[in-house]
This record gives sequence, structure tokens and C-alpha cells, in this order.
Amino acid sequence: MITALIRTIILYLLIILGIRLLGKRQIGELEPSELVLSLIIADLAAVPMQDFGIPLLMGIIPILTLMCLSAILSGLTVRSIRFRALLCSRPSIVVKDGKVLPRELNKNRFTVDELMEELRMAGISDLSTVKYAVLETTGRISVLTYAQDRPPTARDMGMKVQEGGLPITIISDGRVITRNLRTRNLSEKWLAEELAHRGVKDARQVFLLTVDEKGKVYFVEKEGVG
Amino acid sequence: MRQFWVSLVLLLTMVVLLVWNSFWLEDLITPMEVDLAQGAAAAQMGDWEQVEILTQRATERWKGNQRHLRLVQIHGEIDEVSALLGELEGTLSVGEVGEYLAANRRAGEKLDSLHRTEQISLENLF
Repeated sequence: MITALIRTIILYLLIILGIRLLGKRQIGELEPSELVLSLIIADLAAVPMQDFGIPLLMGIIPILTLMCLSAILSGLTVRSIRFRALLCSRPSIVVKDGKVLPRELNKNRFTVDELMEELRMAGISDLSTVKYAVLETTGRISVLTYAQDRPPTARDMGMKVQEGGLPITIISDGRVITRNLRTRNLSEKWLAEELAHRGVKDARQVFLLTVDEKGKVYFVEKEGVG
Repeated sequence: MRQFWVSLVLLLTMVVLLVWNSFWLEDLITPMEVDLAQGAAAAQMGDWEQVEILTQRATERWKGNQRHLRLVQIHGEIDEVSALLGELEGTLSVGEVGEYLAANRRAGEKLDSLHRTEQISLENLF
């Protein structure tokens, strides 16, 4: 049974690596080839996990092969627009200037009910406010409403607002991330001063501390400390 | 693009290693099949000394490569071949030609089956 444990760990780590190589996408936004990869890999890993008579290599080799093919296809789709269109198809405009395009819907085997559902989920109840609705290659609908129907922005109203920054985590669950400290050109001395300013002696007492480009600090102390 | 090239190299490396494995298995099994065929011929001529030498040579060859075999072949198949070779060795002490030839044929067929499974052929692909 220890064999089952070790095999499971090995195959699990291999699958994690595969998913990691898929990149920073959620499952719902996978391209068709990536979705196929996810489905097949799970099945391939299960067989040698359960059957000790099958060598581990018979699970590892197909999984590695699929990962390599996926990476190769990804590389080719990045390099070639034609290949991308072949593998992932192209986005389709299904609503244009407030009018549904039935031909595009039929071409993509997308029903009106599905379209209305996606629009409702995007907060659109009135089709006439939709300038463009694009069926993406992932199957999701992107909606662009008419400018008149969009909430006004600060720019539209001629207002000047302060730009925010991108917070970077400096302390996470008591651990100082020195690399991020350097990214913000900050020193340990600055950190010590910030902690002292908040009545904290040690970074280990901090749950979260972030700093953005403007120097704005967000601080959360650990519970039950101090 | 680094990922693309690394994947391509890894894929080609696997292809090379698996083709090499296919040839390795052929180099293992073919001499065994020859020994078994010669053993069958020797048994029919009544030369049991030669039969024993050839049979044991085939068996030792098989036993000596167990580690690699267990890495790349289904264990059940390996065990089956081992059992058939064991059965073949068992018939040597009896000295009965018919029994030896039957066991020899079974072992040979199983080895041939194992060999054919690893070949790149349309039969295996489809």
C-alpha cells in the first residue's frame, strides 16, 4: 500500500506541473486543446495509481507527452495567427449595433437562450443597449454597450482623481518577503519603523502588510497577538 | 518560446528513448527465441544436454533483465513469461519431448507476443 501512496504523490505532482504549465487561466477559460489535456491527464494518472501491475512510466510518459504537445501547440498559436484560428477558432460577433446576428449564432451552434443568459449574467437586460456582443473562443460572451448606456467615468466628467498603486505584499503570515521589499526600494529599517509606528515589535505578529507605489501601507495584525 | 523548445526537446528525447527501448527489447527477446527454437530442435534429436544449455541460457537472459523489464512492461506480462520459462525448465527433469515442446511453444508465443506489442506497426497503432 505504500506503493500506492508514493505513486499517488508522484503522479499528483506531475499533474500539478501540467496544470501549472497551462498558465494563469481558470478552468472556465481554457482553450479546447487545454480542456482536452486536463480531462485526459486526470484519467491517465488514475490508472497507474490504482494498478500496481502497470509500471509508473506507462502513466508518466503519456502525461509528459500531452504536456509537451500542449506547450508546443501553445507556442505555435503564439507565433502563428493562422494556426491560432485553426486550433482555437476566432471570436465571433453575435450582436452588432443592437441587432442579433442569427447567422453567427448558428455558425457557432449558440442558441438565443444561451445568448440571453450570458447577457443577463453580464448585467444586460436590454439588448438594444448592446453595441457589440462577442462570442470568445473560450465560449464566454464579452459585451460592449453603447457609450450612452455605460456608467460615466471620471474622465467623462472631467474630474481629476488620484491614481492608485499596485500593492505588493511585504509581510505574509508573519514572513517578510525580502524580494518585494527590494522591489519597492524599501529597507528593513523602513519596515521596522512602520511596525513600530503600529505598535508591533516583530514581523511575526503581522498577518498582512502591503505597500503600493505611492507608499500607501495596508496592515493587518495577527489575531490573538499583542 | 523557451517552453516550446524545452517541450520539443523533451518530446523528441522520449521518442528516441522509447525507440531505443523497442530495439533493446528486440535484442533481448530475439536471441531467446533463437535459443528456444534451437532447444526444440535439439529435443527432437534427443540431445538433452544441448536442450538444457539453450533453455537455461534463455532463462538466465530473461532473469538478468528483470529490473529494466519491470520499469517498462506490464508486470503481469513479465510474470507470465517467467512462469512459462519456469515451466519449461521443469520439463527438462522429466525428459519428455512432447511436454518440452509444448512448454517451449507456449513460452515462445508469449515472448513473440511481447515483442510484437512493442513494435511500431499499424497493427499496434490501430
